[in-house]
Amino acid sequence: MDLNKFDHFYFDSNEIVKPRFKQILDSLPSDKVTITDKPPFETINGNLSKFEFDRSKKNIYFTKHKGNFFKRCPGSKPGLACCNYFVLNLGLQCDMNCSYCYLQSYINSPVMNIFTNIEDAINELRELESDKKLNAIRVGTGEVIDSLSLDPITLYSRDLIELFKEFPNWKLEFKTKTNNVDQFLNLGPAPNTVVSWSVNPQNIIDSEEHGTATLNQRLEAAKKCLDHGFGIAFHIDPMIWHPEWQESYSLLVDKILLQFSPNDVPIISVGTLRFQPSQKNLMRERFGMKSMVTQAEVFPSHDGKLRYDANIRMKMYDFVVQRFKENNKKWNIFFCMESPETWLHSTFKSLPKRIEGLNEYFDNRVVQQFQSPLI
Amino acid sequence: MIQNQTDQCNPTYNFFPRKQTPNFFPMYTWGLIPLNISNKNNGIHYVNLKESNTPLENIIFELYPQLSFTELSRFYVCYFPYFESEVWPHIFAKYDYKLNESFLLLVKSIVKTPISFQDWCSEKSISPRDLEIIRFTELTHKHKHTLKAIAQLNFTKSTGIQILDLCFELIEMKNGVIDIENIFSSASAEKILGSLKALRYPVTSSSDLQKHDTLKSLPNLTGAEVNWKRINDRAGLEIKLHAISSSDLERKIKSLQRWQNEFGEVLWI
Repeated sequence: MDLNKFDHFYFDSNEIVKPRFKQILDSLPSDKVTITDKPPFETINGNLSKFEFDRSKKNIYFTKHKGNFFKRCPGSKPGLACCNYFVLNLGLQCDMNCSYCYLQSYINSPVMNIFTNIEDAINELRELESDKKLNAIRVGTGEVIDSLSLDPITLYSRDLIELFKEFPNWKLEFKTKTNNVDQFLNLGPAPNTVVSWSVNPQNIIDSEEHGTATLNQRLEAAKKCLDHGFGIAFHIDPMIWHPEWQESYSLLVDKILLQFSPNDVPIISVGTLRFQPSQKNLMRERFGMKSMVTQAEVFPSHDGKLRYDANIRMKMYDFVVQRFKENNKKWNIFFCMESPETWLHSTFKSLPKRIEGLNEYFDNRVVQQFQSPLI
Repeated sequence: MIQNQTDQCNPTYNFFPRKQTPNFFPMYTWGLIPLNISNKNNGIHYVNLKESNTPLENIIFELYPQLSFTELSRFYVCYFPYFESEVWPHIFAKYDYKLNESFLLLVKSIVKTPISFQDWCSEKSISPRDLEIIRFTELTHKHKHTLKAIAQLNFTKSTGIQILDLCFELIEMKNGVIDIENIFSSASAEKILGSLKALRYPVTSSSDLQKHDTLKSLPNLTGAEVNWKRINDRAGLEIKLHAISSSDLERKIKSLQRWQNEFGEVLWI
């Protein structure tokens, strides 16, 4: 992987005693490494400026995570149809640069963090299993950091895949826009590890997803994972409206259909552009008004986020669902972070829990079991 | 407190908020830096508050308890060279602002806007959050024209903020090729906002307009008022019924049902 894009690497002096981090440290250019007993850069009071946000993507701080690793998926808020998803954050910030990225409304850390105590996360997972006797949960690692962008350095994927092999009913989901998969392929088969890709047409990747893998690279990586016995999934999310959106998304769906079948990809989620009003200024400041995202015709919606007009969203969803269903009715597609009204007015005409093939992803019993101890 | 001769002071006082300190105040200084205007004693003497052991931020807040954000920004620009940099976060905190890098950029940008716009911001108590787009915009003639027009047409706070955002976005989206002067020649704030939204949200606006026209082309609904209305990300029919009795309500609902049966397909395609 290309380490040149980073300005500097900081290591918490307490953490370099761990062999893995000593090894990482030794592999980095020494003039770009500092061992420190305090976090680099001053804590920022309030929102990050453009300069501070951009800088935070180029400087990595390897340090211990304080507090619990596990958090509930934001889609579990009232008013949203959620997919029973648990989040494990192994770092904070992303080294890629998508114009719509929600971290722009979320992060006020002056530096990208990589947490060094994965063993604590693994212990939490084990406790979760022994305390709750759960049948099935999904755990994702790609909420506030791309699951795999720095994995060739940390190799965390390998620890997690090995752990999840012990719990075949659980699902581990990596979510990425990279093609960094070679570091764990030899651990396959691991059918309960699902490597998922956010995908968009190449013209959207070029315009809005800076520093990410191309569509072809992502699909090739997915194929590799499939061939090595891993599960795969795609998130066509966020769909971005532009005058040629139907043509662009047709090409995208066709590319997927050409290489994969419904048996290969048990689930595809679809979402349209959405973001918090509070991130609008940083987006405009960082990407100008020439981006399809800053130019988007978005309005406040049910949860306060800005979204396209509901009818436009519906057209976009229906278009993609129909393209897949025309190919094969077995494709399972769900809408991510959408209101019950959207589900009811869509091609599905039903809520996700009542749709065959999707109901397992919306099992409220598991959500309820988790709600009190984890929120 | 020792009174000194003001002619020793340096530099010339250059801060003019809407509300100056009371006339009976003497000239106060921080060292040799004047902090206010005073006519007392013909402005011959001054009182150096640096000797009072009172923190500077408290003194500033006592002298100017009601500075708006734009006034505070002007204050910062006037006094920045003369005060220790460490004191500024405390001064801003007195007015409930967190001084960080992006806030400071806004402070420096806002003082470059026309003074009439700054005064409008003060009068309408516009918060820094609503002015953020100014922070990262290189002000051209068209931007300045927009800011002056907002002040001159004395828009309400809500309308002014919307117009500011829409105009600034449109100027950049269209590389400055937008007839701002013509837009502001419209008779009302509502029309100006309407024109700007139609330019900024062309797809949605044209779809709404089409529905509106379709609705207009349909026969009137007896006993009810119908409009095509957008509420945030959803547009749809707004129906107002006024019923004076149970039977009247039933009649009107039936009429509404007949209307839907007959014209629903045309409207909801």
